[in-house]
Amino acid sequence: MSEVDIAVIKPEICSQIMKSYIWLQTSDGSIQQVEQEVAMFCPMICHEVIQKGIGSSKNYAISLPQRVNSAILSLILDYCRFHQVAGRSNKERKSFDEKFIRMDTKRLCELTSAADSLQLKPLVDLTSRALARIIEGKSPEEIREIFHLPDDLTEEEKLEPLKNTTDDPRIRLLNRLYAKKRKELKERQKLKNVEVEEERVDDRSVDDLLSFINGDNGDSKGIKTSKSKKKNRRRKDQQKSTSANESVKNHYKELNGLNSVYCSAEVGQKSRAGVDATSNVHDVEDDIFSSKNELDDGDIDDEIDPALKEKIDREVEDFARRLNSDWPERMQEILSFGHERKPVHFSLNGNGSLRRYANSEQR
Amino acid sequence: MFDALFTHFLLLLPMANSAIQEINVSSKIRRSSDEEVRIDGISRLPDVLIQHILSFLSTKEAMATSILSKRWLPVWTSVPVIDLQDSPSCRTDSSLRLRFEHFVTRVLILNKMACLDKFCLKFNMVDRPSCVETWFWDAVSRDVKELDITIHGTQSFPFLKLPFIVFTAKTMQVLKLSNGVELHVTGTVSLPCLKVLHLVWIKYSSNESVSRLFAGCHVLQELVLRKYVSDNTSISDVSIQTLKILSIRFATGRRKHQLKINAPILEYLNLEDNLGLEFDLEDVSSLVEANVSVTWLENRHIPLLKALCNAKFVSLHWDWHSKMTWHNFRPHRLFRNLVRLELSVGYGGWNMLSLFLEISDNLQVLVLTKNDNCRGLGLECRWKPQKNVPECLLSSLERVEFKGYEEVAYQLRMVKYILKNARVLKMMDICTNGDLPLESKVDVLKKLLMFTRCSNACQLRFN
Repeated sequence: MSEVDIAVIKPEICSQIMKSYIWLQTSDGSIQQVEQEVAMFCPMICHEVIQKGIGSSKNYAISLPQRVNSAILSLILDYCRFHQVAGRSNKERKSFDEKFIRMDTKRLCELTSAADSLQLKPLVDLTSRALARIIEGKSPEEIREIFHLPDDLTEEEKLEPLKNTTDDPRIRLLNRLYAKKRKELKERQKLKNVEVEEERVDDRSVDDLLSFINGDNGDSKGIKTSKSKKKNRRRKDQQKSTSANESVKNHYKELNGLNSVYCSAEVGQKSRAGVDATSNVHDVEDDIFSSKNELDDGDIDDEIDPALKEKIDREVEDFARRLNSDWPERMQEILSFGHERKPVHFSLNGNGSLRRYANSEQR
Repeated sequence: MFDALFTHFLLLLPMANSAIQEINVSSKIRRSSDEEVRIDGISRLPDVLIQHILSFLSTKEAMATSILSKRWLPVWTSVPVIDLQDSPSCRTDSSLRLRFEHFVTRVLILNKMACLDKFCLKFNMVDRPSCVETWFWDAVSRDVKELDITIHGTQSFPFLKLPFIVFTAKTMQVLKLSNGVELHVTGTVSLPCLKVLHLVWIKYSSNESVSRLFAGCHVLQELVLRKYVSDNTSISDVSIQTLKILSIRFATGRRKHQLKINAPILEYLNLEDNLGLEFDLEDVSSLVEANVSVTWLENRHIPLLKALCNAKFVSLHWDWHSKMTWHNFRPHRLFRNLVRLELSVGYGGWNMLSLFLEISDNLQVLVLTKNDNCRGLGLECRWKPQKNVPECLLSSLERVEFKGYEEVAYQLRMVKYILKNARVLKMMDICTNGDLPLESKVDVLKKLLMFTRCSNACQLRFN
């Protein structure tokens, strides 16, 4: 080559070398080249280039994570292109961010996801804050509307939201419990006159339930103790947390044939009294047994017929439902407190079961 | 009947068993399949990202999302930020205060995270809540990184003394205490990670509490102090070797107070003084930016001004000034690094401008402001230009801004002087206050345009 040719070629080669590009492949298959300094702003791409040495040519394009399609990639690159320039003031960056973030929520979510997969933390923070601002101050219906969330919680679940999903052992135990209760009811029908025995039967069922709570509060091994002897159960009952005591005590109070109760303040008051005073264990236990005795008196006076059986079934049903959650009233209170006082009404449903209603305007 | 009830009863339980789930949700399945097409991005986001989003909301708002749908049920309990605030009506209602107390305890119990990023609590206090120790124990044992406590109370109510566990938190990086807190430090403080400390309008048990606290922070970089008169301290000893940013504001009062600063690597100083402060500033030679605002500029401020001599950016505001005796100031301390100077002047003291022009040889930007509070009261000074033109006017001053320009004689003289002598001036920016009517503005502009300009490149901007 003559010198003139070299002189002509050189500048072009120089300009290409000066500005190096990185090749990126998005999830939808398209391959594009991006200026190096812009692409390297993303930690993930930076990592790929440095550690694996790919991205320098079309054949060895860096394949981006699945969540990054070409439309989102162009948005991300816009962001990177602006922010990788060092000389910008904080004010400039802030105003760019504010304009950048104006997009519909669907796109915002996709952008969050994509930025997260590229490990671009500043952008993740920016989009997360924007999404938080969208959620802030809205009612649940509005939020569900905006994000198209399914309203798949039952009324009860809304009231008792905190549960574990692996409940098989509990279901099994409750089945056993329920079967036991069924048996006891049948026995009661036969042995109506023997009061002492009935009391003993009922005591046992309380122990069952209490130890079940106790087993839940402890570890899974506790569940196996349901078969243990009465004495052990008693001892264990006395050692359990006051919280379990209170919930049982409160359950009994509710089950004492109350049709409509203004629950929150009252119940809350009692449970609060018990939170810090561990010495109240014995007092609470006595209360449980005494209130249970009240219930027994009531039962004995009634005629034993299907109505009573239904009532008892319903009570156990209600009872077991509450057993599954550690903090039914508390959650209720939390939800009701969070929006000033909203009373919880207990009232009888159409079919006669005891139902707990919360204010329908819960968030 | 029994079996029906039994099934019904089972349906009320949360299910891992999908078969039972189907029965439960049968009516809802049809709906969700319709909506499946519309399932949006946020549902596809992993839990970690949703927690990140919820961490920007207050805990009450985050908690409220738990009833949105099944998926959102437990998410709020894994957010590593607890940000709780009570309502203003708690100030007068003791039962509401009690409810809030228990609410906080329950939130702490329900939150599942082993490590907390932030625990922020703002509440009204009349009597010390019984659970306070528990809250702080829990937060500290969960390696909390940022603790932000604000208590609304009044002087007649007791202030909250934090349990000592807070002062031995190994992972705490940011500690902010405001209002109704009393700093009561009795033992050895150990805060090995604390970088940012804000003590805003709090009370102190004694001077030693503060010094013990500072002694236990070995990597402290930022300190913000807002102090008021009757907070039980007579001396503020900021002797922190690692401090980079210091912001102090003293509220109005007459009591004497001593401020001692010994911070060898301090870069940014923001000081607002309304008290009778005595300054004792050792070594602040590394200072880059200083913003000082005083009500009454007096001789006691001279050590402070001397200490600012190494700064690049200085901003000085004062409302009143008394005659200052500048012994030995000029020859020894030149503001060699000063690049930008901002003077906001109140009822006089424009001679300070001459002083500063003389001692700052490398000044590039000069901003003069007539203090908003003191405008137009006629207490102006007679400003006379020096015989020797200051070095900076000749060689470095490029930009002058004059805010709050009024049609007053000495201001005209100032502008005229600068325009005449500033050789490398590029821009003179004059901003009047809005009071002047349009015609007089035009007149002023004409007058200004008439002044001779030493620098040919000088532009005049008038607002």
